[in-house]
Amino acid sequence: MKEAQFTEKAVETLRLTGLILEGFRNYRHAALEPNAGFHVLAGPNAQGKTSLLEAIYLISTTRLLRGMRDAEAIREGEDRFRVEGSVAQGRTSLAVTLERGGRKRALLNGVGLPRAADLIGRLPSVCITALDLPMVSGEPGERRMFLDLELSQVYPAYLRALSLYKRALEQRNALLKQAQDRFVPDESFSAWEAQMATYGASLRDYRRRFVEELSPLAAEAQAELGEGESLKITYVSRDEALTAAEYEAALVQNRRQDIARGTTTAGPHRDDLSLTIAGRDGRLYGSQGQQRSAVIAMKLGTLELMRDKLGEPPILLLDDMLSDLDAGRRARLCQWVARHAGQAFLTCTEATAAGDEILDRATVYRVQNGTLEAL
Amino acid sequence: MLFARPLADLIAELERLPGIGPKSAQRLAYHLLRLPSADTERLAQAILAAKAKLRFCELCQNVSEHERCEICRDPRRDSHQICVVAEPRDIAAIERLHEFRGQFHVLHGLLSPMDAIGPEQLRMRELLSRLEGVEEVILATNPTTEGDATALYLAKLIKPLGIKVTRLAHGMPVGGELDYADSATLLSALNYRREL
Ligand SMILES: [Zn+2]
Repeated sequence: MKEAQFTEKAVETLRLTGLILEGFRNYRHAALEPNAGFHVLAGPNAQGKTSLLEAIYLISTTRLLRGMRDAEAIREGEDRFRVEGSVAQGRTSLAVTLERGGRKRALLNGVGLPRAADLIGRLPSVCITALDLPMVSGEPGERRMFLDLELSQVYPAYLRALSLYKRALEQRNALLKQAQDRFVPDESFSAWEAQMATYGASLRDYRRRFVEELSPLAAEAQAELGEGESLKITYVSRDEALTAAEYEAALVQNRRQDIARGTTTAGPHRDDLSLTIAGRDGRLYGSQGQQRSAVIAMKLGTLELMRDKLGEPPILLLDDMLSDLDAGRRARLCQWVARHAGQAFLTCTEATAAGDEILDRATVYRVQNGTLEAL
Repeated sequence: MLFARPLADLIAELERLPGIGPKSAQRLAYHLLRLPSADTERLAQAILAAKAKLRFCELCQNVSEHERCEICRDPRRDSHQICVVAEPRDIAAIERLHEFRGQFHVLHGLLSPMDAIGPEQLRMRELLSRLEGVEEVILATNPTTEGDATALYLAKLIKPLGIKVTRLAHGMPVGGELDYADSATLLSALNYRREL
């Protein structure tokens, strides 16, 4: 009995139970009280469906959707936006605010956090939109961003190592540029390199383990979506350093060449994912259809992986039911969501696009011109 | 012209102070203008007097009224132990504990290539020149990237001299600053300092 109660409580902690938008995108004010299940947001394009998804993504990750600029999310004629969500049955409040010309601020239970990123991990989510295609087709930085974000949501230690690594890297790079003009003694470099080695090795370790677990889960999701082609994900480093000591040695060895280039050439900030679709490099040779399927499969695999780590599924945010998928693929995606997802928010032009399996258990909202109406 | 010349000058001077942006500078300037002359006189005098009477201690580089500060002149302090801090205000934080009986050294900053602060910009040479007879150097810089780098750098220079080098231990909030830490945290950090 005690155990059952505990489980029930644990399952409630990562759910969104309230959402308030003020001055965000085309919403002057909007409020939503989601339940634990599926929410279908239906309406014509450019009326605010995706903005709702984005608002949830914002309090989850402190970021707007891929490629969006913070200032552009403030509604025209307003000085600021505020997005607030309640989790854990209203016991915890997460908010992100931005004033015009100011910096994004994150608040936990009304108290401003020293760094906005400290909010990450309190409402884990997996978000799938058409904007994610560069995750497969784009530069390595796009894939590192994916890794960094998903890992940060699960492991606070990863987020900490990441920010400390980036800081030490920036300092080393500044020192490299100075060393082009004047002599810089070894001790000055090693003060930053020792820290880069510690945190960098930790980042690589987390990333490798994540990718090893993600690859089969993504392949499974890919198969369930009815894609006949195989999918394999591997973590790729240009240098072979595995331990902190090896990485530090590599940094020392590269110093002269790094000074010439004015930047640090080896390390986790240069690493990448290799995506093999049907035995070929998906980034270079995949068709747009293959690449889009790979993005979806990677995200669904991430949802499964996070469920395993967190003990409950993260929130699923699925934009536009990926309307450019063909009917068969879309139907199988809907089936996957109905079977695997916990709390979910799905947008589509017509609610019917979500399919019966989802609609049977969903709350449907009509979104029009920045207003929200439950049907 | 936005401001009368003397007002613009005052705002410009205030804006150069750390932590004061253009808005705060304006607010402070107007506040000063509204004060009775006696008050502004007193403030100006206090600034001039502090500047005239205070200097940096020739030994530990702390702010002092004399060539040597009170701590450096105190014969009861143990000169075999030197606790290295980034800023004068960090000394006050450790002194509040009434536990540490050694001496201090103030670096006046931390290494930060991004801000063009290297070893030459800090009071490191002064530290190295007072190490004779010293048995332990405690590196009490903040547990930030820059604080750790500065500690690692000093450790590399001091350890070869055969002097024990220690670093404040866990217990400090990560990314935190020494002078904002509560005493309990700071005390445990001091007790569990580790060798580098
Ligand atoms: Zn002194």
